[in-house]
Amino acid sequence: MKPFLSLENLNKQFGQFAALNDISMTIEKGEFICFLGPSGCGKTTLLRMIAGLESCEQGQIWQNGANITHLPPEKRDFGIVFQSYALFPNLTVFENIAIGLRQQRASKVAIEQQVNHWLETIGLPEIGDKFPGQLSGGQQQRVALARALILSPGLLLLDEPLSALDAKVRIHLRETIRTLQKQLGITTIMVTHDQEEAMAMADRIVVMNHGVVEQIGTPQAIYQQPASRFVAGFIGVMNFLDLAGGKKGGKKGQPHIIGVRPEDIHLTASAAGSADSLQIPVRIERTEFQGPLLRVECQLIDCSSTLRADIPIHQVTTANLTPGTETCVWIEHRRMQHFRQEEAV
Amino acid sequence: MSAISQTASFLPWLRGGREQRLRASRDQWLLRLTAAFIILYLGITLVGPLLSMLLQSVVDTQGNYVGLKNFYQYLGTRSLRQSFLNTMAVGGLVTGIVLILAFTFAYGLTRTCLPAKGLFKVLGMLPILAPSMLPAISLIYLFGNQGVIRELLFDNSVYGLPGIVIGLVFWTFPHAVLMLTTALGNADARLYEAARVLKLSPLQTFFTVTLPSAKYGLISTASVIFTLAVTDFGVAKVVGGQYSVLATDMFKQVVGQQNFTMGAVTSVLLLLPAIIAFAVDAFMQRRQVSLFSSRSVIYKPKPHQTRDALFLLLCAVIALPIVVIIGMAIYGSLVTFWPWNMALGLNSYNFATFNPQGWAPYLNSLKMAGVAAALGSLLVLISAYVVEKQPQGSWVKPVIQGMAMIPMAVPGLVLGLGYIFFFNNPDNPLAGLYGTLTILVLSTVAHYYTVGHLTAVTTLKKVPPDIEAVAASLKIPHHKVFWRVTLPVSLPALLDIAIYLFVNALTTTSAAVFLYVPDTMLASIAVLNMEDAGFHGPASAMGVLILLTAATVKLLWMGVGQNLLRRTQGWR
Ligand SMILES: Nc1ncnc2c1ncn2[C@@H]1O[C@H](COP(=O)(O)OP(=O)(O)OP(=O)(O)O)[C@@H](O)[C@H]1O
Ligand SMILES: [Mg+2]
Repeated sequence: MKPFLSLENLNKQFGQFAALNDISMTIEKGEFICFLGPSGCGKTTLLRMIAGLESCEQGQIWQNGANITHLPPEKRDFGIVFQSYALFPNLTVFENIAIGLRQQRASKVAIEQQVNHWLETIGLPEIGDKFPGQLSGGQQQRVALARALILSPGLLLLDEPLSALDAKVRIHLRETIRTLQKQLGITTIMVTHDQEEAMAMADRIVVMNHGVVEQIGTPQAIYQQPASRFVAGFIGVMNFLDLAGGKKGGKKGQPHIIGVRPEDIHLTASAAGSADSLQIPVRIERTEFQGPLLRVECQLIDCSSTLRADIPIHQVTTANLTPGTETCVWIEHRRMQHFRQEEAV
Repeated sequence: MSAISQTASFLPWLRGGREQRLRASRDQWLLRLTAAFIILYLGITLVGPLLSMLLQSVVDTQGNYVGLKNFYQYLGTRSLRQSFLNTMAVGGLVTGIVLILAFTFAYGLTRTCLPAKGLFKVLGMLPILAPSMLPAISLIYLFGNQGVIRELLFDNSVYGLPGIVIGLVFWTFPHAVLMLTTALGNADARLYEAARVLKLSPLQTFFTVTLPSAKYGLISTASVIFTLAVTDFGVAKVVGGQYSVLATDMFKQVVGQQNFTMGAVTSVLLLLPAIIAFAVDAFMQRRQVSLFSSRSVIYKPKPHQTRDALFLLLCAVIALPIVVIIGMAIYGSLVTFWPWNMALGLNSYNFATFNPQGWAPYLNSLKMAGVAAALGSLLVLISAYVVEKQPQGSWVKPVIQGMAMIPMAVPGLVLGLGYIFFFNNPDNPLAGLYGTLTILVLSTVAHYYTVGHLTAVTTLKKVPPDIEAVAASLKIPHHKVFWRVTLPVSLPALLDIAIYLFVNALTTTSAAVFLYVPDTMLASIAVLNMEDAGFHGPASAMGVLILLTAATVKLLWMGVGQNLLRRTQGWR
């Protein structure tokens, strides 16, 4: 089976500035993909290239077995939703959703039936006669979603659709989108810079930085086996230990950096270690109560780095956690990630 | 990875990857075609005439290139040098006086709870609806040799500098009030609350909060008023007497002596102060940081008895001359034969007795203004749309935008002379336009292009930016989105631009004075000609007619237009 969408060695220059650098990936039918990365890394540019809204000077884009690299947007097959909603302000909600069907010269009855079906689907059956300006942000974004989906496109593109909404609405709409996407089985690409959103929604995440793809993988893979120091630091919290010369870190030879998640660091009063773990003497600096767990910040005694450890609250014995206390932490070797030194940012 | 990229690197060759750019869709072709049309249009009606005018100023009467010789000759002539100094004096005086009056007036309108604000607003706007000759004629009725209150001048003559300055102050006042009410209207209430918390006195507050936030508005206003004052021709023509200014010089050179070369040289000199004022303004605007952000809360004045009473007095004193000048013009137009037969009647409105064209100039004006308003506003909107929809980094955007800003610094007389050189040239395939009403429409639209363009760009920025992208995904062509969404959303602004063009087309003389022929004479030109022939009453009558027409159109727009909009713009 050929992939539904494949990007081959895409590059994008804006004058002297390389916005995208050799981007390649394949996306299967029905997948939910998130482009995740810091601001300005080129997520929107890549999405717009897939839509044909940005020209493609180098590389190729294939969708559904056809080369669409140089097709204008109206010849492609996609629906799109923007952060700014981009609803037609002077048309009613009904007309906003219907306009695509009208352009296809669908019959009146069919339009009526379809639009009402979609208003039902997005959970807003009563608002057909309102204008976009009379709706809340979340409602407007639902309408934009219905408008994007009504022509049953093969590909749904979402550019930070939830960023302008407040936290509650965001989580609710997140579920709506995911449910709809699964129901319709529509291949979807969503741009976001919110890692939690990406983790919760995506089948696979594409982590980008400075116009290159750092890693592509399932949320779990990206969290547990980050391919680079950037990914490790960008997704969740990661401690980086610069154990020069690798004296204490398992592998000898090349200088490298060890990454450990806070939840993989354990506190122990006694220095009783074992062969499969690393022990480090530390001094407690600060503790921070975080509900289910306690975040402990400690300073390594024999070098200047600090560590953050998350201790499940029921394992906390307050006695040995007052700031200034000297104690030991241990980390299982298999929980340690190794990154090459030169990747250091 | 490397295997994939190796395969991929020769794939484009296999697939015939010759095309490197996104294939342009029909929408893009339409956009490019429209952009090309706009550039061509502005090139013909604006840039071409200006360039031929500039060219004319560096050649002799035989058409040989002579460099700056004409300018040396000009500046070597004492009387002409004097005109230049006179013009600067007029500009400086008018700007200073208008700034003080208009600032006081605008302050009263925006920062106090002055009673009858609506009335003051209307009175402050009235002069903009009249051709600039009207206040000058009225001044002659008031202070001329047979003037009703000439005693007030103690034997000084109104002809010359005093008349020019008073007339121009009257005529430019509304422009300044408009700009300054905008500048003063956007005050951040939080700043005033902060000033109160810091226990600043009202005077300190004025100098630390009010004046700085209005600073750029004042500079812009000064530059606009100065340009209007040095380039106006109607007031000086009627009441200038022996006091010569550049604009009247130029008129004499071109119309009187048919010396086009010297006319072009004067044009360039007239262009200089306008360009300098414009450049200063542009430079200052760039350094402006908006003190008013979306977080700001708009300042609303609270009643304050002494302050409000004081400003009622001040605004009334400022508004009184406006009423007197307009009232006098109307009265003068109704007097049968000043000063010998003071019986009232409509004798002066029987234009056929004074002027071979009779009422035709008035009808010409209506026709010209109507076409200019309809065509001009649509053109301005389309060109602003083309500018807004250009892809980033396209050269089309700065080119059109640059051209659209030129008219701001170009006096109408200069543009008109440029039109003579450009269109009255047998080599120009468009020479047939010369002497038609069309050329008057074209010059008017070009002359007032900038304000319309800026208004249209501001409006289009309010239309959601991504709707074209969405439309493409729904397979809806862009022109359809334009008619269905962009145009309706911009309708109020479009009508505003149309009214602006209509009123200016009615009142303008400057470009038209070089371009009319007897058949296409406009009402404003008729005012000038009848005044020149000594028919003060009929000239006044025609001026009043223009004023009434412009006022009626404005009122209709405010009443009917807004009502109509309320029905079609339900979504707002
Ligand atoms: N038309 C353009 N011309 C020049 N530079 C551009 C253009 N569009 C984008 N860029 C630049 O390309 C880079 C990537 O932009 P892009 O909008 O794709 O970032 P992004 O990852 O979507 O960021 P954000 O999270 O802020 O939306 C940015 O540095 C941006 O300044
Ligand atoms: Mg973006």
